[in-house]
Amino acid sequence: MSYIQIEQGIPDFNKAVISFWFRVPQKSLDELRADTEAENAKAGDNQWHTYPRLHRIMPLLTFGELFEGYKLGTQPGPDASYNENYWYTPGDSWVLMFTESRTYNTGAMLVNKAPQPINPSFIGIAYGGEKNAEEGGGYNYNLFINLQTRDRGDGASNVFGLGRFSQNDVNTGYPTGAALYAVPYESHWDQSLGCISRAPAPGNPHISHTTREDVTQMWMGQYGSDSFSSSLFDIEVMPDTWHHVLISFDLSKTTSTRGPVGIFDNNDCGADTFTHIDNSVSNLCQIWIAFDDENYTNGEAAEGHGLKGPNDWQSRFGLQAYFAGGGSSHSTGWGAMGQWTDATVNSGPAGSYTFPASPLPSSNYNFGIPAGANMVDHIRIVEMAEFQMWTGVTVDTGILSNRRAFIDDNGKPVNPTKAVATGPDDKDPKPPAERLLGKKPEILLHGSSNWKIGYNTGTLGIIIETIVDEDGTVTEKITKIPSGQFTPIARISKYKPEPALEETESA
Amino acid sequence: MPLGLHFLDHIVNVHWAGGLAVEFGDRGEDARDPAED
Repeated sequence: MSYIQIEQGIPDFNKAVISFWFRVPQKSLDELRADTEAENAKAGDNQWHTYPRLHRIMPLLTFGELFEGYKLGTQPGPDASYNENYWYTPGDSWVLMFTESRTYNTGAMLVNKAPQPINPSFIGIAYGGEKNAEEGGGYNYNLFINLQTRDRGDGASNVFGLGRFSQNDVNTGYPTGAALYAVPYESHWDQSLGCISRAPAPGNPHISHTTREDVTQMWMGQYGSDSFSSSLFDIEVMPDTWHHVLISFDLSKTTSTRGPVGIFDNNDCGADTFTHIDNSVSNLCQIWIAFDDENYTNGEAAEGHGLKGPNDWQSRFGLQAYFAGGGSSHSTGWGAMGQWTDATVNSGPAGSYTFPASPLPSSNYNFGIPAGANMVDHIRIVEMAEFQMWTGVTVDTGILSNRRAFIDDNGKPVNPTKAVATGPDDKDPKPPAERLLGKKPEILLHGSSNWKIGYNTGTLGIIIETIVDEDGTVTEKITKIPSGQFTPIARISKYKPEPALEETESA
Repeated sequence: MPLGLHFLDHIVNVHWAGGLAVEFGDRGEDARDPAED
């Protein structure tokens, strides 16, 4: 399968604008579905099945570090035991009638059950299973973006925990006869709360403690590293027609996320108290997507994930921390058998995670279209055109005039190399996207023949020098930068028709 | 990689006139084919 790649990748970055055209034949989608279902069948009921990278994905662009994760399972932790003691009062004092030993498990442990390689960063098409009848049948194929950061969540805490249980002996029994007034008698009574007042048997209260062991690092390790994905977006890809993708993102924001806290107390039949602190998130990263000249933003579902703005973007670890509650529950109650229980569930602090805004690990890893050598097995037949990428800048795809720097009113590509004057006084005409973003693209693949030889005419690929000869002749000297040029592998064919959006009835 | 002298205009216009799109994924030999246009 053919592709072009910069083997050593491009410098790390955390802001970008990416624009390109693609067209996927029905046959490629059919193969994607067949291969995905074959892999799922291979997995069967085995929840520890190791899926290959890019499972259910047909790539259009891959780059970045390849991380390793694992499949997590649980197994029981150590057992412990306590006694249930039954007391009675044959005279005027407590006597132990009999004792039974109870065994319990102190809580589950996490175990690494199988390796799970982690996806590189990619833009691709995800197979999403069968459509339901209401959607008219057929299959779901969606545009999907995954950005795999280098952050392993080292600074995260309390995002995932496991219960740890401990109890001491349970002592039950009623004083009767002469003992009714001889043994210490406690005055706990509240009819409205249903608490029963008794003289307690010796050894009370029965203390039941649940604490939470913070296993956040092991939990996060299953994902290799933190990532951002477009899973909240629903962008359908139709076969056999040209599509335009315009994506921008800003992962330069240090995002702090904290889960909710709840503290509940019911002490010895007293009134309940409950205090609550909402989850919070600040300084979110952002994503902008336009597909076929239509802008996509966060839907209603996003608000429940703490995403307030239409372009807010939260990482996997951030989303998990947002829902990771902390707090405690304490209650004391009298049982009908004369024991009383002091129960505490302490979940500790709320989940907390800070995305450190470190650049995407891109340098030293294949940057490939439609995939690099390290993902070559996943390439399927696809047509592509007009790839442009800027790093260090962003664009709001919701603004029509911004989109017009890439795609014109007729749904055709704007020539990325043709300078256009903004008016008669414009002495420095520039290509519209270059003017909009304030610089030339780092990567530009323009024209079939450049694609076929992997000729990157962006600023990572060439240096342009203006030379004025003694006689005043101005020439431009172009020098290729080897480290920024793509290497073409296998046959890449020129393709017609040219990219353009199909006219719709409303257009 | 060859270093070369080109006119910027060559990049701008000739390739534009020559078409924009390519197809990846041909199951042909693992060989470069840069000359064909």
